Amino acid sequence: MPYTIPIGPYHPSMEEPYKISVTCQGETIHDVAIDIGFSFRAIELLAQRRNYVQDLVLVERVCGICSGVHTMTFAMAAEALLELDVPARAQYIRVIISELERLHSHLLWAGIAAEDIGFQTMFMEIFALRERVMDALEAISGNRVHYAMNCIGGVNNDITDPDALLAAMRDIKQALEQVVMPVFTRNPTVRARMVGVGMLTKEQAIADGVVGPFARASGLDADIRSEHPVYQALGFKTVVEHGGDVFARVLVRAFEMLESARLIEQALHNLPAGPLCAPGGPFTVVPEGEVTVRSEAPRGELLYYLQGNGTDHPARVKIRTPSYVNIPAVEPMALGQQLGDLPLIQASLDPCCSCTDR
Amino acid sequence: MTAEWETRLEALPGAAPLTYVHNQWWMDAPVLDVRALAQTMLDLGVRLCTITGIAVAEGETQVIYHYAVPGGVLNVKVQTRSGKLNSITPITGAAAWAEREIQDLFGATFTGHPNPSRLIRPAQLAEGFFREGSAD
Repeated sequence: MPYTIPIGPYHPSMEEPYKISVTCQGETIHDVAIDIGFSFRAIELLAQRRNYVQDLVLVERVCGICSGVHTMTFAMAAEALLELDVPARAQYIRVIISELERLHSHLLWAGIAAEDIGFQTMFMEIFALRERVMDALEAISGNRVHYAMNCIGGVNNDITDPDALLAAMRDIKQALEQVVMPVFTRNPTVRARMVGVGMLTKEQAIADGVVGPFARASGLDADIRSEHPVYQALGFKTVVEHGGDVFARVLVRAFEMLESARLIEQALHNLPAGPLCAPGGPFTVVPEGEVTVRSEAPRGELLYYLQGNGTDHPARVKIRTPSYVNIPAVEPMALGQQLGDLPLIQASLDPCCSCTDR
Repeated sequence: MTAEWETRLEALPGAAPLTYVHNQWWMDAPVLDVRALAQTMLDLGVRLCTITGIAVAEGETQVIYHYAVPGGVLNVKVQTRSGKLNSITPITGAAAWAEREIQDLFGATFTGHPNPSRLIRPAQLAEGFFREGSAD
């Protein structure tokens, strides 16, 4: 006799609210229904009632983890309509902040994944490592989570002590290589919980339109960074795995952390001199026009559509976060799986309900 | 050189010429056959990024389909007629939540959506609360 278990909106394994109702036969999942919207804040509507300077503060609050990429993408959209050239130094600083944010996000995810499989000591090791990243972000911006780094035309803060950041990167790389990577890739208990669990084939990934490390773990070579001139100059390499299971998602994020640390080091070594913002600012009025801009947030492609009307506030702001397209894929991943693996399956796509609900 | 997707897109029923602005492609085709658009893009392996809704006059909604084409973004602008537009979800599953959200925020109806239930709208608010004069 099939039975349905409503899980959420408050979860034992997640701090954010969303509801998943699973119908099982025995221990096997036969059907999945997902409900979102428990923390809907109408940020798009609010953004249309504020000016562009206020909107940079507002969109940074879409998410507490990938906050920097939201302000950067919003600023990039306004810069496109203003036809501004962002100075090289500002572009490099944006890359460094974005990669620190990715490290912070992936480490947070890895810690939670360790906790989900009952590996408490690993959780503590990873969260101690994450603190080093948070310290680096605080040293640059003054803030641990909402960095307020981006303005329209450039960045608000310079990186004045690259040596301190390089030292932090060395420590983080060493810990990743010596502690995190071996445990996640070779530990037999960890592998037993992850290999072959929560499969999403490449064909399903394309059909469902999933993005980010989640898509790249199903063999899709898709990363917005590969189209970005600064990343191209730094020799960015997209990380792709073909397993399509939880283990492949772990591998992608693990290798991406090493790539982020390498990109930060490269960017610091090659940091160009020059101004932090385009001349003529502050830019408070955006001309008429519309533009769609994409960035690679830690969880995948982030899309902003901006319609300017020649005033100091936008006519329309549309925000499509990576979790919004990734969360529906819980359904194909969970079907036919064991109920006990569901927390790990849903955690493996690194869902963010704050982003999804906006 | 014109890419295959450009040729096929401009040949669809109701299509308009493509323009290239701000390093991306745009098509303003209010009466485009959106199901033909979805099927063509699916056949070409082009991913749907999302769909944007914008309130326009007389209760209609402008609907913009954003596709990740090689080398950038394609934006196809269509408009509802009598508040309705065909759903592309039966063809492209990735449109399911985006269409439900536009229904919640702007009150547009996507005909043929397999599950047109409330997605993100607070239960106490009516559909279309993003439209001018509907909020507050």
